[in-house]
Amino acid sequence: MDKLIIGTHEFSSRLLTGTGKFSDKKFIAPMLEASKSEMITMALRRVDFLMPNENILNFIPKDITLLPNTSGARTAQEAIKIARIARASGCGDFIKIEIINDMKYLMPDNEETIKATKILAQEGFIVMPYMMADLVSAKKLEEAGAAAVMPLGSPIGSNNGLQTKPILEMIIEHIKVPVIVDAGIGKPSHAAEAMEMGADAVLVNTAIATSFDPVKMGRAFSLAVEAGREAYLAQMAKQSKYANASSPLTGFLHEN
Amino acid sequence: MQVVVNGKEESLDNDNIILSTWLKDKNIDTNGFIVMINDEIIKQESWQSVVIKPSDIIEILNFVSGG
Repeated sequence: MDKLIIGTHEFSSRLLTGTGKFSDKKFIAPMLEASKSEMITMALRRVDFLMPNENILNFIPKDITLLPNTSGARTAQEAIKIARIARASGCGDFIKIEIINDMKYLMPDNEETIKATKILAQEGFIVMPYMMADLVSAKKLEEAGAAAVMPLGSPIGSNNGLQTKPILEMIIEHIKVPVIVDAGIGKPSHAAEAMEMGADAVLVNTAIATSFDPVKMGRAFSLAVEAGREAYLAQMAKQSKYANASSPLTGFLHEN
Repeated sequence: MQVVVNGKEESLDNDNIILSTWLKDKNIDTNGFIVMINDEIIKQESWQSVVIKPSDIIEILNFVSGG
């Protein structure tokens, strides 16, 4: 597959994955291998001393690029704080900005996201903002220095696919930095659909992590992403309302 | 003395406790912990030399699963 370039980094895989919701974190490493994903998200949290969470970094192979997210942030200021802590902790320069204050649909706040993107890009972060699918916001994010934009297909964890499809198409058409469809991709066909449309990559977490066999599902998504990308590059044949015979109809049976 | 740990008031028996001693007393695996005192990250190699002072605001964070 052709390379995906985000900031100054090059990736062979166009499938980004997440570490959330696995029934057992031991599935993460084999899932990464099966899916060929080279970049994975994780989150930063306060330690609960009564029930400490295991350090997720222990479950991620060293050659994988880390994409810490700012989940839990409700404002640009909070997201910036999380980003700075993540980088200072040795997680690299990538940051997925995720600013959410709507708890029912988990819709990202594009306005705050633009503010955070501008500041973090100036500080040298490779900023990958998760955003509500909206062309104007995507343009502003690009101007603010985003290394990619990550519009949602449908609400986080909903597995509802590309409900924002017409807007995603506009973003793909007008934005020069990579467009990565994040959230809502529930099955490989959704991922293939996004890639066929010309999305540069997809980020899939719930659909892999909560499937019966996350390793097998990782591979299924890898195949779908690759198929979709190849189809996009091959430039698909035109659709038509009417049939268009694939075999010659010049018959010899009914001729007088 | 009183300090704030992860947003909650906490009473410590003695003043001027060494950070690493205080963490050890928590009896949990500190692998991967990120420690901040008054908004400043304290690198792990400094845990043995940093002293917790009254009214310090301490944040103990770590990386967890997330999408």
